[in-house]
Amino acid sequence: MKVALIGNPSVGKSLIFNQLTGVGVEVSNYPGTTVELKGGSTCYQREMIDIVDLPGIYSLDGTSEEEDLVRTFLQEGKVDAVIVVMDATRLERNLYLLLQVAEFGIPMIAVLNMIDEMEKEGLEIDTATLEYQLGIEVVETAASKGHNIEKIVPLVRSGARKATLTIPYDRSVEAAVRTLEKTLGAGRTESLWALQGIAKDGTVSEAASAITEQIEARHRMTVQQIIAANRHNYARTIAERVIKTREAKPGFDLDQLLTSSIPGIPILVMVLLSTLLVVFIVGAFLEETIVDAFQVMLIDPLLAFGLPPLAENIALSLAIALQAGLGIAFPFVFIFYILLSILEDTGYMTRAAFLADKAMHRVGMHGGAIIPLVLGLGCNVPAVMGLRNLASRREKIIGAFLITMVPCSARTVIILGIVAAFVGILPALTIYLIVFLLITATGLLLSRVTPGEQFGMILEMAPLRRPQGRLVFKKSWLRMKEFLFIAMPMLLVGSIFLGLFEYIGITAMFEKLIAPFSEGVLGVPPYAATALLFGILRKEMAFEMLAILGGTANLSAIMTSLQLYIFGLVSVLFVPCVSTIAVLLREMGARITAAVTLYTVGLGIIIGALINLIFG
Amino acid sequence: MRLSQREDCLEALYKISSERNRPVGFVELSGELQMSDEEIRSILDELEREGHIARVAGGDIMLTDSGRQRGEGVLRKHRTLECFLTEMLGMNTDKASQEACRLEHDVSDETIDRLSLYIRDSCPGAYRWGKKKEREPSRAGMHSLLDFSEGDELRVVSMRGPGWKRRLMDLGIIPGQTISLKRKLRNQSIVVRVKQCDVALSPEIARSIFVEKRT
Repeated sequence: MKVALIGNPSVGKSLIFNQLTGVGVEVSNYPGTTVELKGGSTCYQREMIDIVDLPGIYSLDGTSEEEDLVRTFLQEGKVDAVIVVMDATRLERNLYLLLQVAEFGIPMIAVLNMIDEMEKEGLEIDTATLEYQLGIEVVETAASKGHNIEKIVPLVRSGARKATLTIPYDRSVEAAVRTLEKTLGAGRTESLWALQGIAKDGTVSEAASAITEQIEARHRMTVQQIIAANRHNYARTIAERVIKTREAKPGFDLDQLLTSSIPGIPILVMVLLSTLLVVFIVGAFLEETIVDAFQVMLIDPLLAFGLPPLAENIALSLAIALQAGLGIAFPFVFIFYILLSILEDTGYMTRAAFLADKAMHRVGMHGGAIIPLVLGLGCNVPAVMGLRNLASRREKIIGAFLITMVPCSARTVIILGIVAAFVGILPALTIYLIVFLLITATGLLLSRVTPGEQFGMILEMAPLRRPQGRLVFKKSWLRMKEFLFIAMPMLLVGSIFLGLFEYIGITAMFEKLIAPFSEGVLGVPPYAATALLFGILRKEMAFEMLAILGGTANLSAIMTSLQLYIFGLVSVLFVPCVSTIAVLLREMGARITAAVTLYTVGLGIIIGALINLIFG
Repeated sequence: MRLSQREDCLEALYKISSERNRPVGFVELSGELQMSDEEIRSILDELEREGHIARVAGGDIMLTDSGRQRGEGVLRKHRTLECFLTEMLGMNTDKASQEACRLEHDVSDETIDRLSLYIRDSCPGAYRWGKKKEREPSRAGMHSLLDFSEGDELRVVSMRGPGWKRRLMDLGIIPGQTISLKRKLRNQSIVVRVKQCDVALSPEIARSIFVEKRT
């Protein structure tokens, strides 16, 4: 049996999916977290049940990429049943989508999630009446607490059925549907699609477009508008029948603070700054502890052991790779991910988007684009995928440039691990400042030269929620796993090769070649340039390789403060990592990818050379 | 003779032939026009003499290049006027269409150019950087969302722009819906509460939503 989870953004689909299948899917409190179909399975009474987590959408008739994806998925009839997940606190709007799903005639059940929040808001939903109105089974859940989640699979297994409701449409729409049914034998749902111009069948679409024109001429509204209005009205009728409001305690309205200019904007700046500071302070403490431990427990004994030269070279590279990877990168990345997860789960991101809307207009985008940009602080790859939520090509191009310039967590490792640790906190913050200024300048420039239209923001504010420690930790761990199981092996293999090359003498040869450039232009030792190249694989590898090539994790012993600063700044700016390049290629095409890559390389080298020229 | 009738005829021919992409039959044409068959025939003869149309085998009518140009021009005038009358002045469609039918024959090309520029400029999707245009907040007695202040309870009256945004529609911001203005920043970004949800809107979107105070 195959079932799909469908619902509005931020209603808890992914959370339910994770609990049902045990597969780790990222959960966030803002629209657009799930951009692709994700599948998992669970076993119930010795039967495999495949579950698909669909992206959150507001409508099945829309034209956005996700809406199109979900509609096609349902049209192809690949599932035996659907589970419509609804946010009980926003029942009316959620019913609007449910009504559309019901028209597909697929067996379904409804999950009324966030029942705990609903009670807090003083609402009460008469589930029995709701079941009667919809003609399907409804189960009340609170996914964040795991309440009633175990009831979902048995219910969909035995109780999923086609909804019995019929939405009463405007007379002219009903007449058109009848005409299409009679003349072409099209079904009701297909006729409705055809009238909205999204049907698959050519002849029906053609016949419908003629009728559509007549209706639109008569109503001064497009057929989509009429149909949407009818559905909203019907959803309201149902909602009014089942929702009871109790006297709610007027709670403290945190939004009042977060979304006003004052103190909203100072809070926004504080949030970003304190995130960086916490990462630095806690990360630095952990770093020192772990690095020292490695030095005493692993590296010193290794050197004392006296292996043959080749073996010692390789073993030492490996040991330093471990020390740099686990000791330096891990603490920063992990703490950063925890803070980012907290920020995401609170729903604060959409507030930030609202506050930043006007400012973002200046760089050619709207407030909604702040979400991929902030996501980019974690990792550029999902951030680039988040560009799909932007409406026009122009916004996507500008977004692609700006996101690849955002210092991701790997680059944070470089800034904090090299500059903050060995040069100072203030110089580290100036790197952020320089990057921020460059991003702004790039945005201002691109918004003037990039052709295309700009659209305004229409963004639902995610509800403010208290982040739960368990979920935050789980999500951070999920992202961390990528680092441990992809980056670490890469780092270890790379370090073995480096050890080998060093032994054979290739490293020395390469360094001789690159020396004029690295010393002349950037003012850094040749092995630093080699390390920079490794940054293309994974950004933080530039730093780890620097430690390996330099032969110590205590970088201040081998390079001056200025050299470390330039190294940090250049590796932050120059070239997106291979994963980012790959996702850019997929999302934006070769031309934009090439442009972004060349631009960042140029920028990195020019800024590095300038700093060297001025201070060197 | 009867300039307006000739133009109506060319307009109808252009409309039909561009929809179906083939020569137009006499019956199709007469269905589109409110004139007697004799009138139409005499106008057609006249148009043929002037080289605006040509007859093909079977008596079907084809527009020549000059006819196509004239027909297209008239249809554009009609559509622009109709759009202005309905979208900007809030006239009902039938009335606007009739009115446009009369006006289209006398109005100059320049007026139409300026009118369509004006309509396009008022369309929220066409915001471009660097072209800041602070328009007067209300027009023809209509008030946009930006004319109200925080805490106001409002009802959506209409939305401007060619085919309003699908996302607004799906979030429930449709004519007749009651909404409340929850937040309005000095830079005119706003948050409205609709169907228990908060929705943030850019100024250019808010400007295209017309509302009235709930009583």
